[in-house]
Amino acid sequence: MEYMLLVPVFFPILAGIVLLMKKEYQKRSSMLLYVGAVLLITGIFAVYGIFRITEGVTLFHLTKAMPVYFKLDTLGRYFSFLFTIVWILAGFFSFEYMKHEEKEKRYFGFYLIVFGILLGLDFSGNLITMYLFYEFMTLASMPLVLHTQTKEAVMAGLRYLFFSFAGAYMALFGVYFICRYGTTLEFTAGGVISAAVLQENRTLFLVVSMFLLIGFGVKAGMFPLHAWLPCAHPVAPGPASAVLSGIIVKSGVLAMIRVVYQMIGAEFIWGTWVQTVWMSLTLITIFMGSMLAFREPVLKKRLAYSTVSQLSYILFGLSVLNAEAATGALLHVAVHAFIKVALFLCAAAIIYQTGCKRVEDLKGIGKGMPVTLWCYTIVSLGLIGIPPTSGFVSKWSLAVGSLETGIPVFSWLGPVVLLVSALLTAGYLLPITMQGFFPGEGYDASRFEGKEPPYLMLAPLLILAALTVLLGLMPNGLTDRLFEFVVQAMRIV
Amino acid sequence: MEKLFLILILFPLAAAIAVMAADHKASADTGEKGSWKNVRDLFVILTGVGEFALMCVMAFSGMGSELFVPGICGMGLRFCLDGFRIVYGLTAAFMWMMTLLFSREYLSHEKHLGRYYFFQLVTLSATLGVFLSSDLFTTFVFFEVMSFTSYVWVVQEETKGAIKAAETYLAVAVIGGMVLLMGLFLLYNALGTLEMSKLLSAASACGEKKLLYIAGCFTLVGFGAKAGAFPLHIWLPKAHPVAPAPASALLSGILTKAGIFGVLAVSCNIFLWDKRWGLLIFSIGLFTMFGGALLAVCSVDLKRTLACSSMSQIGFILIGIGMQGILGEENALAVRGTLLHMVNHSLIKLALFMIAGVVVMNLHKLNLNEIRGFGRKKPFLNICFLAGALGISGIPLMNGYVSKTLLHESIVEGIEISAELSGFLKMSEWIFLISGGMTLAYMTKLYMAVFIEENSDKKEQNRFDQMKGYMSPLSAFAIGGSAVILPLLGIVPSLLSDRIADLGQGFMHLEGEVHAVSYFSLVNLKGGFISIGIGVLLYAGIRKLMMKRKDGVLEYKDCWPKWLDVEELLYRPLLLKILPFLARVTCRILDSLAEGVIIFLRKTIYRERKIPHELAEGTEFTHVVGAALDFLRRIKRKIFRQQEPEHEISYEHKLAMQREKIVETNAIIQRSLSFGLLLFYVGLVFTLIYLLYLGQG
Amino acid sequence: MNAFYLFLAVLIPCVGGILNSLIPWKKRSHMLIYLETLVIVNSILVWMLLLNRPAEIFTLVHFTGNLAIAFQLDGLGTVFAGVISFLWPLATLYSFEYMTKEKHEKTFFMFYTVTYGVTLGISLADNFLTMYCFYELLTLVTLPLVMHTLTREAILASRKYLYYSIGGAAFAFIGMIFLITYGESPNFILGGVMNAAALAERKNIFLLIYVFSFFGFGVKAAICPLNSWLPQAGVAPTPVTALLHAVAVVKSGAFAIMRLTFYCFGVDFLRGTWAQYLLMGVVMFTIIYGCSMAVKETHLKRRLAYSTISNLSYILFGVVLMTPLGLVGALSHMVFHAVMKICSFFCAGAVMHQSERHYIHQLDGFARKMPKVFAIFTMSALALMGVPGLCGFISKWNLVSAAIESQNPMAYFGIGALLISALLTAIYMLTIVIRAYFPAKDFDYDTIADVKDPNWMMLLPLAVFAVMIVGFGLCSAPVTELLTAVAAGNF
Repeated sequence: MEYMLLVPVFFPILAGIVLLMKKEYQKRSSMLLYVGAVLLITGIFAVYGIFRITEGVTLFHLTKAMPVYFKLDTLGRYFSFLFTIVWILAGFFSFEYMKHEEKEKRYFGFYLIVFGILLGLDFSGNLITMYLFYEFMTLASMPLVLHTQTKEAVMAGLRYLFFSFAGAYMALFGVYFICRYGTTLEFTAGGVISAAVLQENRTLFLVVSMFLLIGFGVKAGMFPLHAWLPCAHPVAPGPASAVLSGIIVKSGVLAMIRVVYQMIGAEFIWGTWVQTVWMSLTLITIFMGSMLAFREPVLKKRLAYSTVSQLSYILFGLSVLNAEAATGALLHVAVHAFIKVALFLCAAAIIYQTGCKRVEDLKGIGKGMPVTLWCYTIVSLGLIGIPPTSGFVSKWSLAVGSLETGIPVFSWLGPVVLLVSALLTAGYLLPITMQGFFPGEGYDASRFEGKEPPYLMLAPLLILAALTVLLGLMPNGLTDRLFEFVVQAMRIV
Repeated sequence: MEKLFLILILFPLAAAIAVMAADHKASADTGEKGSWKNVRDLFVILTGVGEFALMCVMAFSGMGSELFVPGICGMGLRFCLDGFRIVYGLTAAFMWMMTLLFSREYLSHEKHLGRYYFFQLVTLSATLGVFLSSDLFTTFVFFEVMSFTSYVWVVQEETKGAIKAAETYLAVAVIGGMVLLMGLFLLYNALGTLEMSKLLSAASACGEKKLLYIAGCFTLVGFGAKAGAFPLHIWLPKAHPVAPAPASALLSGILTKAGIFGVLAVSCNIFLWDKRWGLLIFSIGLFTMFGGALLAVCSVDLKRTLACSSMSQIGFILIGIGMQGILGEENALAVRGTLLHMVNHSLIKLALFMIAGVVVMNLHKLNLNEIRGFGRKKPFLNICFLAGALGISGIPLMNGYVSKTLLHESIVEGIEISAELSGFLKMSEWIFLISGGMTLAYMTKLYMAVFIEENSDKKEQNRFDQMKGYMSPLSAFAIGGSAVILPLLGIVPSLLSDRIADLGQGFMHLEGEVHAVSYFSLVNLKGGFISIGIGVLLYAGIRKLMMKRKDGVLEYKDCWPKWLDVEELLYRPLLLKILPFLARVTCRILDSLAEGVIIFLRKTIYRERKIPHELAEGTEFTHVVGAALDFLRRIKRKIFRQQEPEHEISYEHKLAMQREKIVETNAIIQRSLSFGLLLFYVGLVFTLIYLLYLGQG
Repeated sequence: MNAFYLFLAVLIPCVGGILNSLIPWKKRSHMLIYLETLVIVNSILVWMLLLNRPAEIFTLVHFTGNLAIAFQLDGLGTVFAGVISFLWPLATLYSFEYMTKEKHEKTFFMFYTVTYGVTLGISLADNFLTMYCFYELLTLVTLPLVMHTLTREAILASRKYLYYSIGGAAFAFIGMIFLITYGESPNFILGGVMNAAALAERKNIFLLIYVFSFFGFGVKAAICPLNSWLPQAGVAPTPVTALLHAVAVVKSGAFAIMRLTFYCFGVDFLRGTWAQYLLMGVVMFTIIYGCSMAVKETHLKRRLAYSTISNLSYILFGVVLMTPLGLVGALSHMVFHAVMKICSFFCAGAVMHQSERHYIHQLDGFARKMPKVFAIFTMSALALMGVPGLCGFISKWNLVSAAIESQNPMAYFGIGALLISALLTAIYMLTIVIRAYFPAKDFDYDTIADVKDPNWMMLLPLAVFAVMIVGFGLCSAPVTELLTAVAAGNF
């Protein structure tokens, strides 16, 4: 029965490859039908796998000691469930959006492949399988970035590829040592390397964990190697940049959680210079991301910088090594996924309907596209962290958790930077709403007249906005399960 | 009884959605007589009245009931109902009802009414949420909702001024919210709980006082921003002239009180009877009071004066809160004074703003010179305005007098009790009286301008006089209703005001029987009369200083210098220009750190190799030397300005040919036999030398 | 099987090759069939030898004392001979199609096949002298192949190749002398043949000699100061650069170093000495140098040549670790790199053969015109980068676990060098792939209208290599077991 776990992983990959190999479709709708069917089937199998299957399954052995092994734990279930929802929503959005782009077959082919690889990453049970899918993720998602094949897109694609590989190889440096000294490769609570070994070559393992953090941090847009993110996400087509920002960067976060908490163990890193460096890097990224987004003229680039900053909220929550903060971080993964995908889809809808990419020519967009801008407003309130929405809940537990730890400087500096960044988030998200709904006298109403996008585009937006508010009103169902996972699996008090 | 809490908050939300739907329908069929418009307005008024009725039912039956809604926003919402909350719930509901009645006529010809009413009702539920909340977490949740939904009021007219003022309002609201949130984080971390009932015990148990003070200051900044306290008052004078009158009535009447509610919650629970904390709030109150009064006196715009007067009255209330701290246990006077002044100020501003609304409704102008003499032939309006004006100026027999006397007495008592502060308190007592006088001055200025003096041009004055149907009966009822309460509260203070004070004082931890204050005793009356005297003097000063003769007629001059606006001078340049510029420069550097390294490497070590082009002839050496010689020759020609011969062989070519010749001759020599013989001979010579000289050595 | 067949396996290609130029072929296809059957027969013979190994030694000529030309098949030799014999027939098949466009094929194929015999001679050599003879012979035989196009550039390149190889061999000669005088037994024994007393007595001299012979053989294994001949040898036709300069010649250099380190001087003597640290430093520098030059290079074949330099130093890094596990890592990278590099060189050759374009910036949009070739090229690129699931990852895995096992802190920096070079490999390989698959938006495909996939003779070897890359990647357990047995000496 546990072989069913392989279906959601390999079915979309094969379907994507078949789609890529197939000659051009005569009718566009038959292709969309195909893609839609594959998405739904995978979704069903994934949900079935998430809620039903408990045992692991080994596909084959890469080398004697390294099996490709799939097993679902709470973290895997949480991430894959979240990704499945958002991926299918963005998929249906892109059916409409891709009318204006060419080479749709290639786009949807790689879109399906990345979906399969993503689920593979979440389902992976040991370090090597995760690393394998982590690298294939970069390779498969690269064509999505340089889909438009303009000079800028190709350069951004190359930059994305080489930054990710630089990060992947840094992480590989750590993976080698963990596989050598770890008792098992599987993710076990509290780490796999025995305390004696850890203490014995302490500096080695500190250097190893630093490399792991910076390595996987590249994909999560952490400070030193984040420059690819603000270039790659704006050039990708609308829905692609949505899933890139909302989902694919989360694979870096997942990898970090797995490695830090379940391979090296949190108490080894607690209080060391590694933790201090990690915390300061995340704080720098938070501030830098939102500061650069503050006056950014191009809308999608502004959202990309915001991704850089919001992801480091999650990383800061993880770096504080406290149960409450980690729960807040995990909750922020879902929150940010819903919100950022919705924001990018709004941007895509605006570009699809009116073709204007820059913020200043969005004056009075609210008159023409009220529903889209309403979703945009609700969702950006969520990102800023205004109470009824879920952004507030995750920010609350992040800040309280970090204060609880009592680390000399960072325990209070964290919340301060979080709030300054929330202020900047308001500074770069709200003006678009204010300009949109209240453009003042000097604007011609006819410019955006009746430009509301079709229903296929609006439905995902409305669902995501509803999810944001719903998660804000009733977060306890999710936060309790996450808290219990954090305490049990990460073995931090 | 607990269900009522939820109904109170959810009922306006549901109604808001219904109103939005109705408005959507109304804007669809503008055809026949606008039946949907009436339905919408009916909905709105019914909601206002219904909410007030609900609040009354709640007030009489639900005393002391509690409600905890688990799960919402993570920590769950917690409501309770005690005396103070009843008083303020009722005031809020009452003011909302009255403004909704008034706005039916005021906004009848405005656009986007659906949106306005939607946000008005959502703000109503949020404000009630703030007042009924029993832990600071719930307060914060509703506080944020309130500030965002009230943004739409300010931007309702969508004029350039409205948008800019709304932007400032939102910025202050968001910054205040964030700072408040930081304060709550620190409080939650230090005390472990945010429930107001448990705060006192937790605060006394909590060790490090310094942390509590820092957290307190953060929350003070947050709540003070909304209340319009001194450093963050910038949105008040800007937002009111642009907001619709009913909206500005609520803005200055109730929303500022929400801020004060927060300050009270923190001061009375965490810093109960804390002298230092009291002093801090007292000084902020002092600045706000005096600053507001000064701004009001110098302003020429009707609603801006009222706005600045609200700021000044908030200053009075903050002084009351400050005195609670300074007086410590015996702060009965301060507690009751604060409470009463809050209620009085809300009701007075309700009436005054609605009257200003009537003026704007008919003339669409706010400048005192233009609306001069509007109220001459309008007795009803005259009386209502008088009730409000006298109330706020603290004239005996009016409600303002009651609360101002209490505050004044608390300062006097403070002078006696705390020895070290007495000097400071004496000085602040004088400022208190001067501000009271200023209040009287600007209110008389308004009254004289609108109701006594004649308009400069006759035609306008006649138009004002013949104006008959300037107010619909509904609006008349609204204004009259709110104006009539003011004297009631004032004439027999022991009857109404004291009852309200007894009801609300529990919130500030003032238990037990309080000896009745004889308001009309000589010493209290003396305080009132001093401020009235100062007021009259100041008004005389205004007549002289602040009026200028323009072609024979006395004109009101706006003598507050334009550049002295704190916002333009300090906040906007600092927050929007200087700080972002510095931060962006550092962030640009950080952002391009990795990028810079890569580009540097790409330019130096990893530069792509040029595609090697094969030399036509000769080797590298001949190519370089030849090119150098050619270059020198060209320079020589240029210096001596010789002209170029037509066909000319370049040195490079010559050198290449030369080299070819040498290579060939070498090849020939080497192959020739004589060369071999030559080598043999040389070898022979060497062996000979070796044998002869070195051999036998 | 009788040991004589060892000598036979070396003899057949040499004699067959020489015969080929003497026989007056009427039709080209006859020659091709003759050559192909010759090479396949020889490969089958070698594989039969590998499967049931003759125990005894076959001495061809016995000079004096312990100097003799003798052949014997031990673990290390099996691996190298196996790789050579498997790749050669495919390379020959590939070169038939490639050489249609070049002149005087007969001499080319003569030397090409003779090289096969000589390389087998190196792998089957029993003692240092035999190996050294065939080593020298290899240089002489491959020289005309490099000079094949007879352009000025080719002549310059071959002259440089000759000077470097002969110079290197001279250094190696010094090592041989010391080995013969101080070695106890003439042939190769795992663990070293030098008598302990001599070693202990003048330790530094022997270390110096070891370093000299290391650099001697290192010329062919393209160590940093001595590898400028390899990129210039790129002027030779692709079958030469692919098979010789990526697989046979350079690998024989590495093979010789393995013999020198593990079978002559003995690892226990060398481990921990200054020689090991010096050589490890040089090897690590070469790894980085190779990749960096490859990133700078714009000529397609020269870029792959620099990549070979870097990958060879991976093998030498494994050797320099001086542990059995290090030898396993080195051998696994030798085997896998041979397959990967020959596959990418053949793809490059196919591109050049079809479109006469040598520079990378001319390769825009080729993937649509030559889908099969570029699909395989991408596969080999990913393998070279070390993407898990392909064979590059496995060999890098073995090398790194050996480095960690060796507890030598400098080895950890070696791992760093390996990973940096993996990143640079990603950069210089994937830029070609992306330029081919995703040209600029407004790129008109009719500028490369005539470009199309080559015929089956070129595609078959490519397909076989692609299958091997993925096959080794997914189930590499048997190969690693074999190599561990070889390194432990009980195979």
